[in-house]
Amino acid sequence: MPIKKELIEELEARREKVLAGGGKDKLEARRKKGLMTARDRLDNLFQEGTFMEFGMHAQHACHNFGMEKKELPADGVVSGTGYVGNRPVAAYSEDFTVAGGSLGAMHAQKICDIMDYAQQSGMPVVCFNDSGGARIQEGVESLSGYGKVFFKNVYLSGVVPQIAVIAGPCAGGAAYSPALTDFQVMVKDQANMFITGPEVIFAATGQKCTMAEVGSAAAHATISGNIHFVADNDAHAVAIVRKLLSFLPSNNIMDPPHDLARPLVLDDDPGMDDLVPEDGKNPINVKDVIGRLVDDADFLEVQMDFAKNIVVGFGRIQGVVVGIIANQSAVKAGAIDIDASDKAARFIRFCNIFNTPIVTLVDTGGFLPGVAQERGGIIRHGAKMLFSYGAATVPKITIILRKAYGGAYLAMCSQDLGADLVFAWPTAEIAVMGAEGAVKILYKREIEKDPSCEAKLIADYRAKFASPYQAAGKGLITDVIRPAQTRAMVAMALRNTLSKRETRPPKKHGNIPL
Amino acid sequence: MKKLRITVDGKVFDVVVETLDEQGRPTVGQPGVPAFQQTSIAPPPSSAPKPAASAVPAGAGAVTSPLAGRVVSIDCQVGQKVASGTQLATVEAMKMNTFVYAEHDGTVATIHVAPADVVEEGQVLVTLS
Repeated sequence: MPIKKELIEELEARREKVLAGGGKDKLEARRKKGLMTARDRLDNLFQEGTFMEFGMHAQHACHNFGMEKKELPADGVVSGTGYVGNRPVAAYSEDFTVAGGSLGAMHAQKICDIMDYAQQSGMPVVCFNDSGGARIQEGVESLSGYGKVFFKNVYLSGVVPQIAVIAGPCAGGAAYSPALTDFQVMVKDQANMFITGPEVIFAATGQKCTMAEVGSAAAHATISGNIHFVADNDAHAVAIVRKLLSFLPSNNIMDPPHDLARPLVLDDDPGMDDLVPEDGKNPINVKDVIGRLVDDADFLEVQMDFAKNIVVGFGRIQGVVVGIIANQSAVKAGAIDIDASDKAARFIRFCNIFNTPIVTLVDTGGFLPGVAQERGGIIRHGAKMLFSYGAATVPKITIILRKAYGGAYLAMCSQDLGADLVFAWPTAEIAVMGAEGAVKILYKREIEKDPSCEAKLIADYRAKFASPYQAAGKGLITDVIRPAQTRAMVAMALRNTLSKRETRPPKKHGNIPL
Repeated sequence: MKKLRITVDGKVFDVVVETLDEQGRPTVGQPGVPAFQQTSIAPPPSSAPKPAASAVPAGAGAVTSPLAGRVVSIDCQVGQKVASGTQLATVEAMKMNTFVYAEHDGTVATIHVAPADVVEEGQVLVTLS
């Protein structure tokens, strides 16, 4: 006897009801507005037919305020696993059409369950946040649910990559869950994120402001630095997630998806020579250098609109996935300030956790001077860079393009901070400080007696110290190379260093100056 | 995309090899395939009053120094018509020249600083009309 027909019919009916979320009309209304539904987002993320849903028939247990009569399909969050780039990935997607995507106890449990599964199986977690916030009817259980999700975010941090897409409202405490993940993608215009919005800010402080100022993708991408990528729409957000995943390992004990079958090409790239301006004082757009360094000019920039004086992101160099950190001399002279330090330090730590070799391109005159910087704690923030580089045990390859002065030279992964190999272009200027400043200290008396000698002293100092050969003579760099040799040398250096294993004394964790 | 030369029985064939994804499309980043598009965004306008950094109030058409430094040269003239992206001035700081560009089309109305002047971050260098 085959299975009873009624049982199959019941299953199909139940499935159909859950798939309709808050109702077919509501789903259609969203699509008409150009928004994806919670399930559309997962369908777009995963390779066709690979989605395996978890907890489709979950129901809330709330009996307050008439909730016992309300059915909330999937309790407002769709979760499961699927394939992205032929690798399994866990994901959950909040359904705004079901009670505004509000988070109750079951909703939170479903999120925690999929995160537990992802951690145990070693797969990345992608979440789509689109929720009005706590489900008020469930009271403190809802609050507790948020706490449990935050705890899971922390528990998984450093074990599997976590990527959050802010696709709708993300208000109050809810904003802390994406904030605890590794990367945040925010969809412009349709999403906002804040702890206190304009109304609460006005009520509490009398300050008037707009949502664009405090909660928009633009504000978080450029000023607060809270997010890493801006998406034009849902489809673009999904494309960014897929692109990002293509550079990441599934978990912290795997290597990123290198393509080592690719043969090493050691030809010169004369185009790199052409990028170097004759006048060492003129800026180089370091993104042009990166474009020539990575395969097919394929570079995924992280936080492209925040602290533009430093550029960070992912690429492959002859097949090896790398994280690149580069001073941008075309913005703020490439000086390192508070925001640049924070941006770089966080990225370096991500690379280290997930076994991604670090390539550092140095072209900076130093840490940015200024009252605001000192009072804002540039010492503490700059120290994060030193700490992150010093603590990183992944392969670290540094190329000194031009300026490398003082503490900023050290902070940009110098040999002393554990770089495995350091290459310098002939244009490199590695010195404790600039010629003008150094001469004023070294020859104070001579200049007081005869100010006319200053120019010559500066020129002498520059000729002697503003070069890579002092540092090379002291064994601080591996070799001086032509810019045209850079891609070949870095590719070879990466292959040679890839099997590096460094073990340090056991400890809970270092005390990074936060 | 990769060019290979294959010789079979003394005959030389030049072939182009391209990697395709599972759907048979060229993989992203290959020459001839549009690169992955990222979106850049501008900061939202702020309603907070700006600190008066200089004698000249920052208003419409004000082109300001992005950092504190010394003016190396003024690269435009009063009355000159400039397009967005035209280099207007050069400021030296941190041993590096920083070029200051016009953010929109306009005509140079006033030049507020001269070479060798020390300028603060946010100080108005040039006003466009």
